[in-house]
Amino acid sequence: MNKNIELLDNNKHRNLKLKSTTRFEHMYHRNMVPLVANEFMHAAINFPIFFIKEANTAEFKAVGLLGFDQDENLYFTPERLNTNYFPLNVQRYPFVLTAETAESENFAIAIDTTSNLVSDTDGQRLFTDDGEPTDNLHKVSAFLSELMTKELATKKFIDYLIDNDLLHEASLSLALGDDGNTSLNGVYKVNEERLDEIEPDVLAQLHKRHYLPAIYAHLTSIGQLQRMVALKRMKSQSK
Amino acid sequence: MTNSIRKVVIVGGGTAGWLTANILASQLSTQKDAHGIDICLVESPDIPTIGVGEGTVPTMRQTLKLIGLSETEFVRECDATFKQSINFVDWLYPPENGKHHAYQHLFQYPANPGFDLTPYWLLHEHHNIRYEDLVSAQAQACHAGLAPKKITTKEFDGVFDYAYHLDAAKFAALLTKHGIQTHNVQHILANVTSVHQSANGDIASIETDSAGIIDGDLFIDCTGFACMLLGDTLGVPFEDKNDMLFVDHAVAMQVPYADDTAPIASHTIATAQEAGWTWDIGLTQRRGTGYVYSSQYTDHDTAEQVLRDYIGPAAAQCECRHIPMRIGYRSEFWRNNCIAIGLSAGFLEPLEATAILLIEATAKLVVEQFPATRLSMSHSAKRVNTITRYGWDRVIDFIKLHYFLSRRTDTQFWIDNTRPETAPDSLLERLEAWRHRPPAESDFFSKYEIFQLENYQYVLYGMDFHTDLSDSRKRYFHQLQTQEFRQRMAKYQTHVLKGLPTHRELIDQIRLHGMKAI
Repeated sequence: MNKNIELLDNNKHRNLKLKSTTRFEHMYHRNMVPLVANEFMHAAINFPIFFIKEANTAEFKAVGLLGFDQDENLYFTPERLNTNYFPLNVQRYPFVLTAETAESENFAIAIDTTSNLVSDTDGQRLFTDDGEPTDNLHKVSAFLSELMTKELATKKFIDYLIDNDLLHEASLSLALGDDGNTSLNGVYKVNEERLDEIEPDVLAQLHKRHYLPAIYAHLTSIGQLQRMVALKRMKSQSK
Repeated sequence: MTNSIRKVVIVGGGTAGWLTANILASQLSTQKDAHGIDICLVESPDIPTIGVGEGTVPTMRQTLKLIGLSETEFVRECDATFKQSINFVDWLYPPENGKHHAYQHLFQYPANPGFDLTPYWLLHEHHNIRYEDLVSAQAQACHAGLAPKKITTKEFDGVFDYAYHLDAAKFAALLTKHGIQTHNVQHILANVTSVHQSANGDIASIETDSAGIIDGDLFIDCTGFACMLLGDTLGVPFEDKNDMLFVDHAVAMQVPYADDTAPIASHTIATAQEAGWTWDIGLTQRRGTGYVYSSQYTDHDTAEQVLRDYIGPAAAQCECRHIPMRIGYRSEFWRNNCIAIGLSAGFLEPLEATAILLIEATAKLVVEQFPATRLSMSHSAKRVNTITRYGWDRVIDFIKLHYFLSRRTDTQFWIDNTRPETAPDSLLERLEAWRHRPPAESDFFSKYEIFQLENYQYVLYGMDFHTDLSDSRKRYFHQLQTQEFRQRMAKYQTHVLKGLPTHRELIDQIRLHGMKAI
């Protein structure tokens, strides 16, 4: 766990207040954001969706790509927001659901105390004077547990794609104008040729499990790479 | 009676028997196909396996893929680690005041920026940089204890080319399970008591103590040094090669790590000694070490002491095992309806990890040349014999090269090893040509030559072989491009090393999470 992330504690954090944001400053230097399958449709009209492997475990996860360089975010910038959709994993900040202890299977809410949304003076409280959770905190809790359910469903979705040979590594090369070319490595996508020749029983399963909308949203979203290239050009021109 | 070849009987388990069984069964026999081949392996419950070599070469990756094993399962079950090179220590000169000469035979082939870098290294760079560091970043990865890939790299792919170190006994056990469960190899545990021949000399059947008589159309002799079928029954003689390769004994020792976070070397360390050389191989749970030596130049007690001295204090609690070795091969590998694969076919010192390699190569060759009927068998046999003999001879050339280029004169073993009459003519001819020009692709015209141009380049120039280009230097006009390349390589080296985990980290991640097939 990140050292500035603390398990929420009704004594330690009793007077903590939370401001609301529409700027999402914590995203400015992140070039991707984890997504859940049933937000693909909303994400797809803004940025490309890919599958990547977690660096230390090689577990697959779905992400929205927001920048080409490591610290680059072309959608969440100090000047403007270039997206009309804010993924659940953006909205949850500064909260996260985490295991209570390293061995525990129970989850608890933790908070990034260094976030500039956290304050002692401004915003809404998380606990009452008696240490009871406020309605505000109840909402956070409900939001996080719903997100977790959706993440588990997304994991199942990805496992199904892999088991049916539907994912493959994407090889993408992009012309960035004056900045030269860039190639995207280590990103995976649904194999369209395989999808075209899918066995009827697998297709029936994809339909029954409501996976088809997510698959097509993902495939469509890859076209958003062109928008990213345009955003990148605009950014380098304004410099 | 039909002449078609329907039943293959493999006699002997161990690495050779089970690897052959898996390769043949995965390529020749399918359950669904009525024309498939039945593969049966007869293994003695009493004869222990020798466990040839713990080192492999990169072809092992293709072989594992071919027989349908997952790399994750292989690494987990065989305590396997990643082998990126062989580090040859003290081969050129004996150590002096604690200083050692060393070079690496890398598995990543030299980079080629549109031209061979070798002449430019010879002409301009060899005082500035080691050959392996000019043409690759892999030697530095090995020195830094890094893995050749990341956990996110898909199975059998690498940032650098690699092979494996493995526990041979565990590998045989995994191959046994896989052969039976996945490829329907019939497994019979019994001792062979006698061998029956037909009138034409073919092996008709083997008789066993507990499984009766087992007949077959084709027999594969994987009985190890015993060579029960091809040697004892069919009388194919053994050709001794001790006049070129002097080592004839090994003393082996398994050494535990200090703790389970100790670094694991990602290369074999082969250190020249007074009458042979020591191997040092890092597996996940222990190191496998040993000293291969020539009993003409030392005695067994001294040899054991050399190994103990090499290992140091950790050797005190370790037992060692003495293994006599017969260096050479059978004059035929396939006679009548019998093929020898593994130690029964022959043995060479494990300097370039050729034991398992020759098993893979021969089994794949048998698949390609597999006769449909008894009538076409002699043709297949002739082809396999020619190719396999060529392969063994070229491996001997390559192993001898390591000794022949040495400038050691500290013991008679090394002095005798550099006498031209102990080297094969084929090697001497090549070396003569390479004194005046760098080795070329066309010097290696057969794809059945296991060690190719790139392997020779690493050894020749790791050992400072002198190629005199003074009369031809005008032909080499890429000097500027070479300097540019050298700068690019330096940048690449820094970049690529930053992204790799340590070898131990990767092994731990694989044990915990596994690698993905895509």
